[in-house]
Amino acid sequence: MKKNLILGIETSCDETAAAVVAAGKTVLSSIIASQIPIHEKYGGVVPEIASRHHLEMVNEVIAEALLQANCSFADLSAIAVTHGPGLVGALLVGVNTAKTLAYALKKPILAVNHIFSHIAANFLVHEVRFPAVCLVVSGGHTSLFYLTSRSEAALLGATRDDAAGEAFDKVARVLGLGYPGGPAIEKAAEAGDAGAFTFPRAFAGQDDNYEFSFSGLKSAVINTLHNLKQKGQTYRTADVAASFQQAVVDILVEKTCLAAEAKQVKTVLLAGGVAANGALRQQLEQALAAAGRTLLYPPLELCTDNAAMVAAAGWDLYLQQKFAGLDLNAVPVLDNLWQVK
Amino acid sequence: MTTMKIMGIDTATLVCSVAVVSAEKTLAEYTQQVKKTHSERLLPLIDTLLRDIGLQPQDLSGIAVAGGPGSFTGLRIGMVTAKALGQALAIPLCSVSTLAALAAQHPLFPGVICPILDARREQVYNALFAAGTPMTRLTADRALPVAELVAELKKQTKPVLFVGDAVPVYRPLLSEVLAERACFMPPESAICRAASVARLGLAQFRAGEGQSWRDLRPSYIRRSEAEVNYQQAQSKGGGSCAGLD
Ligand SMILES: [Zn+2]
Repeated sequence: MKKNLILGIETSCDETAAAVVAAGKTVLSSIIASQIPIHEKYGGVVPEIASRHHLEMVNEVIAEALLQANCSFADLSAIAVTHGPGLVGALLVGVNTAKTLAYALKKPILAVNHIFSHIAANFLVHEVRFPAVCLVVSGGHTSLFYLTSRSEAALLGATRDDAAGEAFDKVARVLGLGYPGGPAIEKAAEAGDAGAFTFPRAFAGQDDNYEFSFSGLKSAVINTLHNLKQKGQTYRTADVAASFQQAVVDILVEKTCLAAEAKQVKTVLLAGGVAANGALRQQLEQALAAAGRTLLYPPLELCTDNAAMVAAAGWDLYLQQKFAGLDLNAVPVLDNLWQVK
Repeated sequence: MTTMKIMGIDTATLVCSVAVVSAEKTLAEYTQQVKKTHSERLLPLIDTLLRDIGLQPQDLSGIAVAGGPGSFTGLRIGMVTAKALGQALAIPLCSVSTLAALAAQHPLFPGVICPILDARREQVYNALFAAGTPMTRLTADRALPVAELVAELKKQTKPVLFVGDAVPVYRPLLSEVLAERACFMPPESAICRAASVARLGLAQFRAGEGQSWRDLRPSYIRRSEAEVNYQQAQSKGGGSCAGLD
């Protein structure tokens, strides 16, 4: 029998994913069936459609992950699954698949918090020295954490309304750039002037405040475009995209640097789908380097939703024997990172 | 060969029901209707039931699941559980019509058996059956307005037996229109029962109609609301889908 293999399963939003990871570190396989093309025409993820596709794909993706990892169900030490936060109907597919497999195979069930799994993506590729500060930015979350180990985190602050990724999606929609918005805005912004428009940066310049807000920024972009159209003035989409992106990056950089300084950490981690944004990576890296700090982030394929990060986060639960019961449920809103039933 | 032991699962409505049957008997059937989600109840119920009858999951020969119609989320819980069991244990699966499993509980009724499940928006999921073993299916599974179903039933003269979770909702209307032709069962004989699903499944397995986890699919009958709205918007010439989800 092979040792320390965790099967990870992820169905919290629009990717159906499964992966096999050895000892929370070595990715033996990571399979992702993306639904992005399916939801594109609706301009966002439709929960019922997402749930239906997860159901069709989840067992296939698991079989493929085992095949590519060259292992069988019997080789697994445990099965880890995202149980929240996320779309409840989508989560239910992964949760019930994982716990039923675990039950039939007599393996432990590991209930993983989605946000924390994004952080854990870093553990797959970096030897992280603690303590560290981590900025998680994705379509669903914008949060700053203080980490003292692989499995101990304290929330410093989070968004009060929209997540950064959500703002990217909405602004991209208004600009007619398509879905998902993150990559579309980044691409458009390359040819734009980031100083062409001045958009608000919520809570900027406030020490000891690690909260974010992006709904005002989104509204400001929409109002600006509306006013220009009313006056019959033209504008360059690239300039709007670049100015908007700069406003997001500025506030993320400012708050992250503030947290790193307050906590006096040497290492800062970046995680989540928006961590794939080149402008954010580059500017955050520069700002931190100026203060002698190192920025770590996962490769692109581990930034967006995947199951390798779920297996990595599950590994720490496995070591602590924090196993979930057969009555494990999906939790759409999950504030406590360590909530295990 | 030892006797076939088939597990039945039905989570298509608010009822959560699990059973194991053989050709000769129902070994056990546990049926709950309490305010807890299927996600929390189903697997513990399966575990308890198998323990109580001294079976291991790998002792099962196959799994039959109520594959729809029914609540989308409910169907998916039953379906993913069946699929994962099939994948982990490498045993065959089959999907049974929720409506057929409801009707099959009344093989001796001298008339038309009419299961109705609440499909909201004044609609029901329904199919019509004629009694007998095996019973005869008179219509396909469908979603239709209650008024349409009532009009259809008024055209014939046989007694009609109503079962399913939409009965309490529409009973006054049905009694009024069909008078003494409308027949009803006590609640425990009118709800989804997994033993009935397993019994129909057993027949399907014997007929060689078992499927692998790869091929098992729920039968939602209805598309998602977003798909319907999108298609309507497209056919009206509008391309916008803002605010759909
Ligand atoms: Zn995510």
